[in-house]
Amino acid sequence: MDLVLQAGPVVKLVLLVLVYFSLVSWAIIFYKVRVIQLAIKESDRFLDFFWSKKRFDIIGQGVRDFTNSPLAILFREGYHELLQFKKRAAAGSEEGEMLADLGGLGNVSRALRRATTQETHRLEKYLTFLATTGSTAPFIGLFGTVWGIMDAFHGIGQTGSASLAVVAPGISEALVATAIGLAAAIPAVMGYNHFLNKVNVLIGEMDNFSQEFLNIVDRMERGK
Amino acid sequence: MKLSKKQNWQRLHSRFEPGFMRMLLLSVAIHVLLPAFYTGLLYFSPPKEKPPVYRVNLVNKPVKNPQAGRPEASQKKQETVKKTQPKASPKPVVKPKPKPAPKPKPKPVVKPKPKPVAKPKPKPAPKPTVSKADEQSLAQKIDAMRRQKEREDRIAKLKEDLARERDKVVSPVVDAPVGEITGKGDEEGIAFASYVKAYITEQWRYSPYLGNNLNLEAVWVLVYSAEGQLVHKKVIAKSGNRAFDDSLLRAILKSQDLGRELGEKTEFEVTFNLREMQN
Repeated sequence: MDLVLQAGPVVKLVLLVLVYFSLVSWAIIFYKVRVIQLAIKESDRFLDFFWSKKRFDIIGQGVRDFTNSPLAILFREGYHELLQFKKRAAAGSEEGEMLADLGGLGNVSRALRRATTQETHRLEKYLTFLATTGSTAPFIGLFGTVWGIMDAFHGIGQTGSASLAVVAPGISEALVATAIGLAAAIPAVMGYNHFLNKVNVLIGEMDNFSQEFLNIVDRMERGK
Repeated sequence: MKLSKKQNWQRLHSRFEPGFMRMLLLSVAIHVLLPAFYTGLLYFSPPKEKPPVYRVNLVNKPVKNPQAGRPEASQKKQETVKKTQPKASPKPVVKPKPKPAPKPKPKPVVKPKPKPVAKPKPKPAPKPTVSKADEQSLAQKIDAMRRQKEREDRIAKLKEDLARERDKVVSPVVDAPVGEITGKGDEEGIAFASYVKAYITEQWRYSPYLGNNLNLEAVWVLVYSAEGQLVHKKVIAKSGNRAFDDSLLRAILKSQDLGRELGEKTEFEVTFNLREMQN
């Protein structure tokens, strides 16, 4: 603690920036742990629920219980688009208009793609901050260290003494910046890699679910 | 349009996803607690008033003419008292012991052998031929035996004296306090040379990372003035390790003032051994 308090103003500023990076990084890590765990857990539950029911209207009513599952959101968007299309199709047939079935499938597909993109953004939100912290914090720390060592050498030049007792405290103070930079960067990089892997798994699940949903809609349309 | 504090907070809150602010607070708490744990603030307890400690170094009092002494002097005192009491009574017991030891040896050798051999043989012959010459020879033999006994007694006494002298070399003064083992002087304490060496060793700093070789030894000649100031220094034998030699030079320069008066200008030849100094 004394080392931090005795450091120069530039080193103190660097330390403040690093502490900010560390604070937000850890907040993101905790937040993401919770969000991604909930997403994975509820997606598994939703898939079980989805395959156990054979009617979309029943699934549509039960979707409200899976607010954190990206797959449930995908279903909700796709189903909503399907209902819209069916309403318009019913209105069109009444008015004597012809609507192509494939056009409806295309709408649902686009709705699913849009929902997938939105969910991917939601899941990946704040991860860029972790990546930034992981890549820049060590350099910021290094900058603080270099500045501190420059300061220490300047002091040596002024006092004219190069003994270890004069050099060591300055270098020790300066090295604190690198230590804190690494302390901020290491968990950030680890968290980023971990969450990116989990998000990729969820994106894969969302793609698979979209394909399954479109297949089911296609079969329903052809079965008419 | 000025926004109220509540509106500002709500605006800030809406920028983050629900639950993120809580995690931020958790992170802040961890960042405050971790350094607190590290620096030991959580284990803080009001400082207790330490009782004053007075240190008086009676053992290492440097003197010119140190007497011998042993750390266990007080223990030996009791032992010597116990030993001396029984010694007084066993002394007469000890004396007769060596006496009967040499006596029975010659007796069974001389008496039984000559008696059965000499008596029967000379009895028949010497009875008629007992002369003054035989009496003289017998007297001479008895004298020779007495001299031999006296010699043996003297040797035993000399051996005892020698043992006593040896004891005196280890500890010439029975009740001597802690001092130099080899000292033979009359003052309690250690020699100035030992004090100087200990003082320099106190000032000596040597990093253990400078080498694993503990068998380093250097010999220095140091001349101190009567006031205890370093007047001259000279290295007689270097250790061969520059770092060790430099550390010794630094320590010697640090201890230029002994903080004690020596009484007269004194020259010391001090041997610095790394292994000894690190213990």
